[in-house]
Amino acid sequence: MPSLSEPDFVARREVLRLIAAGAAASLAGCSKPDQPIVPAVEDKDGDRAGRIRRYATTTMLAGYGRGATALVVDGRPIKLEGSAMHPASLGATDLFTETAILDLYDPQRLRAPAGPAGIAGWPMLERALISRLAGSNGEGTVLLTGRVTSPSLLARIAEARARMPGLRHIRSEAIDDDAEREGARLAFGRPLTMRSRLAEADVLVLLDADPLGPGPDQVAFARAWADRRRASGKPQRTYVLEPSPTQSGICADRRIALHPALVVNALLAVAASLGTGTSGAVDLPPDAAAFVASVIRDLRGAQGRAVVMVGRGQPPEVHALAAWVNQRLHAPIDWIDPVDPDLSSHVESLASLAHDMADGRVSTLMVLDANPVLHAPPSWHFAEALGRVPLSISFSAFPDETAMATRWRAPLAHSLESWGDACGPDGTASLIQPMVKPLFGGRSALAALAMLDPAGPRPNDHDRVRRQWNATDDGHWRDLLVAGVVDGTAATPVSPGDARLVMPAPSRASAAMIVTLPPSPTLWDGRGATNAWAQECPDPVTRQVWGAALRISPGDARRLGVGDEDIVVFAGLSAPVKIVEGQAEGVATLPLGHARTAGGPIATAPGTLGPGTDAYRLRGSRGGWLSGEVTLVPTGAKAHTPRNQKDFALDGEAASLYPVLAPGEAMPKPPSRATLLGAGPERPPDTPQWAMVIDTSACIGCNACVVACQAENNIPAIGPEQIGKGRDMHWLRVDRYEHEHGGGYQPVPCMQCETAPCEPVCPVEAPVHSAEGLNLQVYNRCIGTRTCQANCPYKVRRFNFLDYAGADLWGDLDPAPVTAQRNPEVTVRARGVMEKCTYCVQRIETAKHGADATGEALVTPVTACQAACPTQAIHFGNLADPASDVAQLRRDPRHYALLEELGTRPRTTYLAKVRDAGEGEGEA
Amino acid sequence: MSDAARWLLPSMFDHKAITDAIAGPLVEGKAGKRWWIAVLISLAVTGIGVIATGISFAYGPGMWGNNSAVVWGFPIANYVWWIGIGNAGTLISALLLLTRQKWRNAINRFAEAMTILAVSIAGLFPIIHLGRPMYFYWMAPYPNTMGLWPQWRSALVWDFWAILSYLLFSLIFFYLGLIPDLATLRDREGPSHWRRIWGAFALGWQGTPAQWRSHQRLQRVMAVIATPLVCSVHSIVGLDFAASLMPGWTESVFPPYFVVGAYFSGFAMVVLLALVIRSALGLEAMIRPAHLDACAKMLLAAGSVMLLSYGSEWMSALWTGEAADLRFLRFSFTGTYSGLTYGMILGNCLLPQLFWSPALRRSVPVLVIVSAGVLFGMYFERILIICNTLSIGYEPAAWTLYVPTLVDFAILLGTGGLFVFAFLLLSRVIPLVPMYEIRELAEVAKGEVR
Repeated sequence: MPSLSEPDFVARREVLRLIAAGAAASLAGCSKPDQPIVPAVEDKDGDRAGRIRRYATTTMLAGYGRGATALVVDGRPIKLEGSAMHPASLGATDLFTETAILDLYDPQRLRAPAGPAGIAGWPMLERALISRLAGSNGEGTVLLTGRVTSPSLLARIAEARARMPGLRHIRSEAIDDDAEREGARLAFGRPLTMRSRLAEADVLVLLDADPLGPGPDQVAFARAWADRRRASGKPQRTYVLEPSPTQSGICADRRIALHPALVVNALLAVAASLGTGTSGAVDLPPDAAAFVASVIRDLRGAQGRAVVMVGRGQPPEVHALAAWVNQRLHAPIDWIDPVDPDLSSHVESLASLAHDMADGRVSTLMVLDANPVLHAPPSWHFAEALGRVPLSISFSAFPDETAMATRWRAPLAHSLESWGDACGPDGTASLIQPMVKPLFGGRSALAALAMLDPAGPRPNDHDRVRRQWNATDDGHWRDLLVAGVVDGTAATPVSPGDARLVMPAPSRASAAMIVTLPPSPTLWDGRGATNAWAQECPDPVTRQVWGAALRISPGDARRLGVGDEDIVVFAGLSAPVKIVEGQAEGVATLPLGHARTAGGPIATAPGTLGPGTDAYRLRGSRGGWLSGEVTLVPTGAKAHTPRNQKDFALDGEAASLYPVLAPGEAMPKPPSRATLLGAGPERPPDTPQWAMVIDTSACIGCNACVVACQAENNIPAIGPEQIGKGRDMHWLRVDRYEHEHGGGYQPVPCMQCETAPCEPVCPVEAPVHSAEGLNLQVYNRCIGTRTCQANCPYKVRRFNFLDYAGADLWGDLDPAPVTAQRNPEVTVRARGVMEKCTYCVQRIETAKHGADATGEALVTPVTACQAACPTQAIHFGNLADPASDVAQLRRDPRHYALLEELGTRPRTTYLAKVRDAGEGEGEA
Repeated sequence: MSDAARWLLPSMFDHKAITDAIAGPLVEGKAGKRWWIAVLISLAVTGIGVIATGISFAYGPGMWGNNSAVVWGFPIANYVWWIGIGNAGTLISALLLLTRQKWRNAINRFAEAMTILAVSIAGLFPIIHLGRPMYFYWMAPYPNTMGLWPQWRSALVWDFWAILSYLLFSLIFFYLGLIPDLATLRDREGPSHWRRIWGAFALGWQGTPAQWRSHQRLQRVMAVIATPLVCSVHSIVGLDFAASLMPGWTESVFPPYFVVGAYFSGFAMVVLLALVIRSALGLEAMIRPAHLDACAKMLLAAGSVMLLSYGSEWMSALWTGEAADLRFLRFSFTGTYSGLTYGMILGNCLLPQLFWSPALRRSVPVLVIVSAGVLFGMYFERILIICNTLSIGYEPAAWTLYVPTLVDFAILLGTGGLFVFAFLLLSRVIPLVPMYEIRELAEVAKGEVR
């Protein structure tokens, strides 16, 4: 860390300037960007204090843009929602968009450039660059980025390279798509990107693929999949063959655990049935062979309506064969030219850079929003090679591993602080509109490039982006900013031609253990590790927070004689074990991105299990997402792995908590039972009666709703220690259950019971019932007896055991900036107070105020969780209106209430999960 | 031996002997080294509890083991346990007075003192346990500008009143019984400032026949009032749990079962106190083996009722066949806390069965072991009532185990220290055995002997 105790390096004037700037920044708080920004909806009262305005912008994941809407109050962005016009958002969000708002205010962010001698000002960094680059043709200068899809940035890079022909641009994304691209090249002779139209897939076969899991495509895939399953008529069936349970596997109709090396055999068997001319006899365990037989049977009848997807961990040949298989199936797939114009291999280009650096052929390196020191395979000794570069600079938001290894680090502005643009995974371009001036003095990617190319013309970012989109006309520019999405930029499908039949060699599972290395559903490639909300978001499979354990199968655990939380050592790493049902034997799984060594106190928080479990250290020298063979050795020690849910299995009558139906089956009528709880409150006429219906069949457990609720309702993160004590503050939890008829996810917010057990037991009447059917908690009245939660059968109330709202998770850093994220419409709860889901009562009230002001009919408000849900599993509305969504869904044959027999008359109810087991389940 | 004489040695048939034996060790005499050591130790232990409570107030309930599912923990268990102990004193004084049990005379005073201390300590916990203890008075209906009242449907409000009325009543009852003895102390030679205090509190008691008559009548009337109050206070504690819909709590047997459990643990504490006071204050002549024998019989009876109550609880779970209740039962016997369940059955149901033997009823070591067993068993019961139900409720996803912290233990320990400390102080300023009632007993005994 740079030390302020070494001020010698900073000139006196600079210090004064910095102090003045700091004072100005703190006085100004969030100030508006220099150039005008345009809200998505024109609202003449929009500037009134406390009014929420919405602006179109874009959030990034893996270099791809997803359209977003920023909710801004008094110049402060407080929440991100989706953008209905953007195909990668469809109005919904994922976990990464939801957590991005906290990154903006994160006290861990870099605040000033720092050089070898400590904190310095921007001019010093500029001088350092100019002195090296002045008059150079860029020879020995390398720009390293992650995936770049931004047209403006790509144009800027091209401009710089035109001036400095020696400048190399290397792009390497941590979670690469090398295998997919190479697979397409093998099949079609050119790199193409496969875009499955899941909405048209009656049969979906996922070979070690997880389209419902994390990634830039998650929302689009999940929506299409859910839409297809919702559609009436022929049921959709999802088959999953995978080494370790993923969200797709958990949501699948049929799933089997399969060693990753055997996935190719399964695909070969499928391909043989489609006429490869080879025998389908491959080495598969009997249960997998039977499973594949059902897959083949189903695919045969689903020509034109079936898709086979292969995961990024599989080799290119398997992707190529899948392309052939899909073509034989006439699968609903679009092939597009890659959105990322750089066709080189992510892994190889980074390897070449490591090589060049080690050989001293790189004199200047600028790393722009990438963290290769974290994700490069350990055998490359990337950090050491980096040490040989005379001038290295990392532009990064956080003091990550790379920023700590380069000579200079400089703060990168957040996307809500910069002008820019980006393309979605389907090529759709969208604009990035800043909502505030950089809070911590960071510079945008475009501005960073201007420093690398000091000779170039220096229009500001705004002008550059505007020029990129030829928005010479003010009205046109305004329209672009209002929409955020640039029409007609989606890539048009190309005809790939006939796929070449590539036959990968059949493979055999090794006798030794291997480890699969998937991206983390909560931290992605490790970027989320600095984000307290992401860290505290439960893993969709293990429900672990603040770290990841090594997943192994029950059989392997028995063989090793280890249980949950027992530490094993392997290949120089040590990690606690989590036994996972449905994990393939002989395969362990360790998600990437956890156990960071730098990035700030959240990323390296005690309790996140430390660097010993950094999955990147298992990467072989050629990249990939499988470790070499490892031997797990139990140590006898234990580690604490905090989890929000410990029991997934429902046996006996408990299975009724999570009913699973066959297609077309209706929920059995619950027996009516005597209750002392009465018939519920009066329903005054003309008063809306709010209710929520959640379709468990559509829920993919992505946690977007959980964090959306957290952002909307000022819910603090409380840290691993508190979670370890069995406390959590999420108002909405996503339970995961398994039983003999199937499994899946069940989001559980407050049930807003009509005869709420929490209400009569409170001695001070803090929980009260509104005429609209809301069960409200009056925070000011609550004295914290916790009787309400003791009597809540759903256990959905949350208690402030400590001063969580003022809690300092950020170590020595002042947590004050995060308070700027808080929603002014929602009370910040004090210590000792009970809180709970309110159905976003602030949104309901805003809607009512709007209706009062305009005299028009009440527009049904949208709750934060509902807005976030990628699959639209959450429905909210007025039960008193028989035409409303919720009123109709309550008549659905799949409708049920949780613990209905208790007589609590919940307002939050569910649609049962549908699972199409199909024929031949017994064999599998 | 005659009936009354069983309860008093002939050496105590003389009024002066009684007065000397009881009033002698009070402030007039030297406290003694043992008393001082005991005071210091109990004060130190109280200090630990005060510090732990201070920590809880400074940082919040998060210092305890309570979690999102098991929102209640030690503080509520402590509350229920202490209030149970506080149940026996008034019961002994009132119910045994009404049923004319002569043996109550020797033990009722300290049992009542125990009640007041235990109820006072118990009364602290509903406040300590709050998330915002500074607003505890919101549970009381007091005039306020917002026109807010407590929630009358909440068992916790009933509880607030039950504790308050029980405490006030016990205080008055205790004081009423103390008046003739205070007058005795006032009239004896001794330190003048203490005599002045006793005198003020004796309210001008002269011991005239009219005064005695009024006193006796008032005491009997209060005893009649006391008996239902004793039952109500712990019934309502039972309703804190029973007026809910959680598995293991929604049981109509809870109110009576809590009352029995309460006087059970109260009697166990009385036995321990009797043994201590008897030897410490040299009152062997007045607290006779027959007293211990009688208390032991009470324990045996109560222990058997407890076994029946548990049995009916388990039976009702088995026969309703409710999944949640069955799971609760299975968890009680095989789950994480099953050790406590077996400890509870051992302490509350099995150990008291030793008292079928008359010899064991009078054996001091056995009495100590069984009484301590009951006190532990009842604590286990209190903590199990909370933890079993809340750890494994209806929603398996929310199942969470409870692990108390050091602060939890320190607060519990501290209340024990406070109890002992306060008792030690009381033992120096008031007679722990009622002199006038022993004199009465002596008269009866003399008559019987003659």
